Amino acid sequence: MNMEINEIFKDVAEIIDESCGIEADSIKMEDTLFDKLEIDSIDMVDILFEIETKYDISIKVSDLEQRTKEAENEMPYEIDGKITENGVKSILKEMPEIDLSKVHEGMTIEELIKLINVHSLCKIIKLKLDEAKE
Amino acid sequence: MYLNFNHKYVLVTGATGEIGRQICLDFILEGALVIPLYRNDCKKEKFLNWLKENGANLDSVFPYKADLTKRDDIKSAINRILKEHNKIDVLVNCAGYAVEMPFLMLEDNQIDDQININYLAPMIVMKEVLRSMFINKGGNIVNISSATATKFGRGVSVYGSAKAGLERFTKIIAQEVGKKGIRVNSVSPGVIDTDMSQDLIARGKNNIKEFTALRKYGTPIDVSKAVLFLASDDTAGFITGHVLNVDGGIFL
Repeated sequence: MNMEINEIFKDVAEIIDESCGIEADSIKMEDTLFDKLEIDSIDMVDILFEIETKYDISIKVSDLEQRTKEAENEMPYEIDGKITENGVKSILKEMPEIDLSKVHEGMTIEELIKLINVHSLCKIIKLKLDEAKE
Repeated sequence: MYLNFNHKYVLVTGATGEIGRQICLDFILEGALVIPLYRNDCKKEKFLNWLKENGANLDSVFPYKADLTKRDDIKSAINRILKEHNKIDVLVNCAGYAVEMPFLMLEDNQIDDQININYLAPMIVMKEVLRSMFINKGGNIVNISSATATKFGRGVSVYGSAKAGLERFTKIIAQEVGKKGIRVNSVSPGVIDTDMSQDLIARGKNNIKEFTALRKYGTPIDVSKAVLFLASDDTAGFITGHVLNVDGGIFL
């Protein structure tokens, strides 16, 4: 984790605080967005709008797990909404920040989304910012 | 009663129509800054003259041109509005378009335009405006529906069903965005004495009045007052997802 991610984390925690009323100081990098913090879909929209406005980037919920699909574009990442063996490999490589003990072949995309944490969100913001710089 | 619209930005689609212009006028007279969306330049000039003649200060009016049948046009207009004014506090989706004839006689473009203007355009406008309302932590939306959404469907198959869809959409969005302090309601006018209704009034002779409890047609002012009531947090702060019939009791 470098300084830039830490700075982004500070902003993200404040945005979550403002949108959902969860105290910024109580938010941790490893907290899952939907399970631990119990952020619902409308609050998530609000958070993404705030992030887009703050950083002048475009970001969607699907961006959070899109990168793993891109990494394994030769092989199917999921079949009928369930993660394949190749999908698992890709997740292990691209999303080391999530609880990998819960990642397994046959898990659903919804189950994967539930593992996405604050760190994942900060990472995607950093990636988008880096893309914007290029 | 104080409606508290001072310095509030109010976006009105279909502003140059008889109901739309009345809504604009009433908001201006209540201290709001009105952003009318219009499509036709000639109608815009007539609209501005009418506002002036009726006591509006045109310094409170910021017209923008947009073709509601074109998604990109709508998005671009709203982006420009938000860049120049930063926020939209109230949105009134008032644009409407009806072709009254049996369904099987409608041309394809007449079907498309009615769906686009009455159903799709409010969705697109709302999607763009809601983003700003989320950022500003609040806002109010009033969609103008029609009595034909629930009754009197003969000859208005596409218009009536599009308005029915808009009413349902209003309720669902009200549920979705309520927790962000945004209220979404509809006003459903009955027969309003405007140019758009003259054919209907002529065909119905006195029958329509006889079916109406108050034995008269509505006016644009009747609709406008209902819109301002729903759009104000001071008068309707606990009302959302509601369809307010302004129809003189035509359903009773």
